[in-house]
Amino acid sequence: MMKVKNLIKVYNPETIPVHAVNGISFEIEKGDFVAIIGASGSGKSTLLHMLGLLDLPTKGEYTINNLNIVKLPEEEKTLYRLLQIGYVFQEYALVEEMTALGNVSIPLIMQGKSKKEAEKLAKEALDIVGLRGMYNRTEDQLSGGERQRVAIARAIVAKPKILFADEPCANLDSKTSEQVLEVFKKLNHELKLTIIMVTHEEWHIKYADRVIKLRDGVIEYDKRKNH
Amino acid sequence: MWKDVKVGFVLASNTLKRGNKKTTIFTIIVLALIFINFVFLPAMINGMQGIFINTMTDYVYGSITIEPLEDHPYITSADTLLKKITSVTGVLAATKRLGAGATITYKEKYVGSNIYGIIPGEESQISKFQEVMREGDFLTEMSRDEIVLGNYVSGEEGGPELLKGLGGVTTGTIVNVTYNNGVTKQYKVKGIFKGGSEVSDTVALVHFKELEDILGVQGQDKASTIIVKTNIIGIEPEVKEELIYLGVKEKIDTWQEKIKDVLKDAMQIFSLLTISSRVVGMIIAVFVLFMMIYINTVNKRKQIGILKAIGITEQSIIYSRIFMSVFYAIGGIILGSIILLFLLLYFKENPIHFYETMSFSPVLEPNITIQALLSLLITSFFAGLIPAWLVTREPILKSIWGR
Repeated sequence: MMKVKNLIKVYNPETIPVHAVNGISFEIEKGDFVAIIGASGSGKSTLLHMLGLLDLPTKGEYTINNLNIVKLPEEEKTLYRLLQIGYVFQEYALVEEMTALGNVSIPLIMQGKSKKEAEKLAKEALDIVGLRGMYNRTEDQLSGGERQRVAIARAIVAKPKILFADEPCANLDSKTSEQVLEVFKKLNHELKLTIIMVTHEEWHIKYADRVIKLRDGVIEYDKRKNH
Repeated sequence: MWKDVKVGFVLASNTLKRGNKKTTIFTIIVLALIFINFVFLPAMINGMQGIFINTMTDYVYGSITIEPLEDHPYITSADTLLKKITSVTGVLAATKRLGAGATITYKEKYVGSNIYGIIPGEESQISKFQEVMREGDFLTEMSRDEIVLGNYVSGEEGGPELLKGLGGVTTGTIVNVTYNNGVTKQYKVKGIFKGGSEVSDTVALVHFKELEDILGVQGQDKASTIIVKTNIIGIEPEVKEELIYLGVKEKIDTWQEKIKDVLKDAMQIFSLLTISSRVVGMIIAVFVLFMMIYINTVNKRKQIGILKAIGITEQSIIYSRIFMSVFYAIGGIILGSIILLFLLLYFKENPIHFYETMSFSPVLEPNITIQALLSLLITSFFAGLIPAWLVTREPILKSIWGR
C-alpha cells in the first residue's frame, strides 16, 4: 500500500545542512498499526510530516497505491489530505471558535456534504471516540484528552485510508493517553484503519503491530510484533 | 468554488459567533469612526457651502441672472425678454428688478444699502424675501412710498455690533432714503425681513415703479437684472443654452457661474478641504483596517496551517477572512450610520453659528456617502484578501510552528 524508498530530508541545504532523514525505506500494508519511535532529533516527526504531505522530501520516492504522492500538484495534495489522510497533531489543534461538532464536520462540508449530513457523520465519529453528548462543547469546555479525541474524530470522520498521529499523547497524562491509544486500537481493529503513530514513550508501542525505531535519521530497527 | 465559499462562510460565521466579542466590537467601533470621518467633515463643508449657495440663489441670483452687457446701464425691452424667457421649457418663473445704491437715514443714524425695485407678485415665485419677514408685511402691487428693510439695515436694539444698522427701526417708522443719483425720498417701513445672512439682510426693497420714478426710466421697459427660476435644480446650463439659442444677447449667468465669481476663493478652500479630508480619511481607513485584519489573520496563522493540514483549501480560508473582514466593514457602516444620524439630528437642532447671524447644519451628500461606503467595503475586501493570501501561501509547517 505505502512504499517509501530512500527518503531524504535535508534542512538548510545551502548553508549548514542538517540531515534530518537520511535515506529511509520501508513498506506499510493496509491495516498496519505502526509506531515510529526514537529519541528527540532522530527524524521521526520529520518523516511523519513528509508521509502526511505536510512537508516535501529533499529526495526519494513515496507512493501510496502506486501513486507518486510527492509529485502531486498542491491542489491535489490538499484533496488527498482531505479524502485519504487523517492527521492528529501533538497539540490538540482544534479550531478554537468551533464546537466539537463544528470541528469534526468541517472536512465533510469541504467534501461537499450538506451541513445536516456532515453533522450526522460528525456525531457518529464523536461517538466512536467516546464523546457522545459533548457535541456542542467548545475547546475551553473540554479536557486535554477530550480535545485530542475531538482531533481524532476529525481525522477519521472522512473515513481516510491512513491515519497519521504525531505524538498524540505528548500533552496528556498516562490515564488519558491510554484512553486515546485505546481509541486508536479500536479504529485499527474495527475499521481496519492504517495508523502510523510517532511517539517517544516506550509503553505506547504495545498498542502497535509494528515498531520502526529511528536513530540519527536512519532506521535502527523495524520489528513486527507476533500476535 | 461553491464548496470553498460554503466552507469559508462556515469558518467565518463560527469565528464571529464564538470568537472574541471584544475584538469584534472594537473592530466595528473603529470602522464606524472611520466611516464617520469619511462622511462627516464633507457633510459639514457641504452644509457650510449650502448656506452660501442658498443665500445667493434664494435672494440675489435666482437660478439664472440676466444682466445688461458692459457699457449698457439697463436691459432694454425687459418685458419682451421676460416673455421670451418664460416660454422656455424648464423655466418656472422670471422677474425683472431695478437696483440702486442709497443711504438710508433715521434720526442721526445712517446705513449704506442696495435698494431693489421689485414686482411683489412675481418676486414671490423667485426669492424668499416674503417668507422671512421678521415683522410687518411684504410689499404689495399697490405699495408706494413704502419700503421693506433687511434686518442688518433696520438694526436690532441691543444686538451685536454688525446688526446695529439704523439702531432698531420698527414697522411704521418713516426713514429717509438718499439715492446715489441725489434723489431723496421718505418711506414708511412696511416690514423687516431676516434671511439670516449679510447677502440678504443688507438690502432694502421698494416697488419696481417706485424705483423707475427715482431713476427716471418710467415707462421705458428697462431693468437692471432679470432673475430666472428653473423648476429643477441642475438644468440651468441647458436653459442658458436655450436662451442663447433664442437670441438673448444680454449677459447670462447660471447661479453656479455667479457663485464661482463671488465665492471663488471660498469654494476652492471648501473643495480643497473636502478632497484632503477624503484622502486622509481613505489613508486612515486603509491603514487601520488593513493593520487590524492583518494582525488578526497573522494571529490565526497556526489555525490556518491546521486547516490546510486537514485538507481545507486555501480558497476557503481566504474566503473566510474576506467574509469576516466585510462583516466588520458592514457592522462599522451600520454603527457609523446610526452615530451619524444622531449627529445630524443633533446639529439640525443645534446648528453651528458663524458670522454672528449665519448658522448651518451638516448636509450629507449622497455621492460622498456612497463613495465612503464602497471605499470601506472594497478596502475591507482587500484587507481580508491580502493577509489571508500571504498566510495561506506559507508552507503548512511554517504556519503551524512558525518555522
